[in-house]
Amino acid sequence: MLSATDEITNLIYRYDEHVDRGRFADAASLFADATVVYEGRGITTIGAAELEAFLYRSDRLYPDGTPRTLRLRTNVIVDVADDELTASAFSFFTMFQEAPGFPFQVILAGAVRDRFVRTDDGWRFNARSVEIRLTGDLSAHSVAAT
Amino acid sequence: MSTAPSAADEIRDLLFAYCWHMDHGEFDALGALFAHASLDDGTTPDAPAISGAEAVAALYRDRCILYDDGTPRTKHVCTNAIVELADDGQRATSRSCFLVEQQLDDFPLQPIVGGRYHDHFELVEGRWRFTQRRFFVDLVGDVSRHQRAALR
Repeated sequence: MLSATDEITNLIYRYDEHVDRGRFADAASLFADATVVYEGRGITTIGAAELEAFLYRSDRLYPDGTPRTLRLRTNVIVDVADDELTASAFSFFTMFQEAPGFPFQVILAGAVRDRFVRTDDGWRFNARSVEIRLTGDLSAHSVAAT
Repeated sequence: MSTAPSAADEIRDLLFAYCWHMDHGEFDALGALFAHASLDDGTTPDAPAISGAEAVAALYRDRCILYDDGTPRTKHVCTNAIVELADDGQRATSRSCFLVEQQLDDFPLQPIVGGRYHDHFELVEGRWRFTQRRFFVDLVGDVSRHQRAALR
């Protein structure tokens, strides 16, 4: 059996996996009951549909159906409440991209704070706050460069 | 509070052991991780799978360029390991990301390959071991100083 911490890190990594594979609806469905805030950008999404729409604006898709990105999630700290009904996590992400005419390089790095609740179906995202700290060349990534 | 490592911890240790042996040019030790496992390239489905310690060690010895310090001058960064356990607790899978960085005197530090590992494991006599690794090469940079053959 997986620990609460392992269940929560799996959830964090599943989002990254879905987005990197271009499965935006699947990625957004993990946030069906959650709010996502992009700090300092005036962007807040509530629920799956709004997050999916945001992903289609933020991540350009290529002919292979993916954004040609690799989201490396590291420095994950998970804190599960004593009652094991809520949890929070802190993590870093570093995004790499290689696309037609765009050499392999690091394009974005930031920090994420997540909150989770445990339901009858397991752990679920409740809130995410994304702080974009470092940006590189986003010209091959953003649909409308922000 | 100190507790015994979980199954997921032990599986992540196997992922990291692969990176360690790879980056140190320890291809026999790397091969030993696959003593009971097959290895294949999911990016090119027609490529044959290879199995067993000796075949895997030979493949890496043949494919990877080693430098004067005995290493490939790489760092394999393995992250995002989604670990799932079978109900009986005897089998597990993991899907993870990898990034390979390389630096040489005349080759600035840079990312050269990025992709995914899809792995299967089994618990035998209290120890987890690989039964299958399928890797997917997604993002490719300049691998001319790492691999003797082109990745794509």
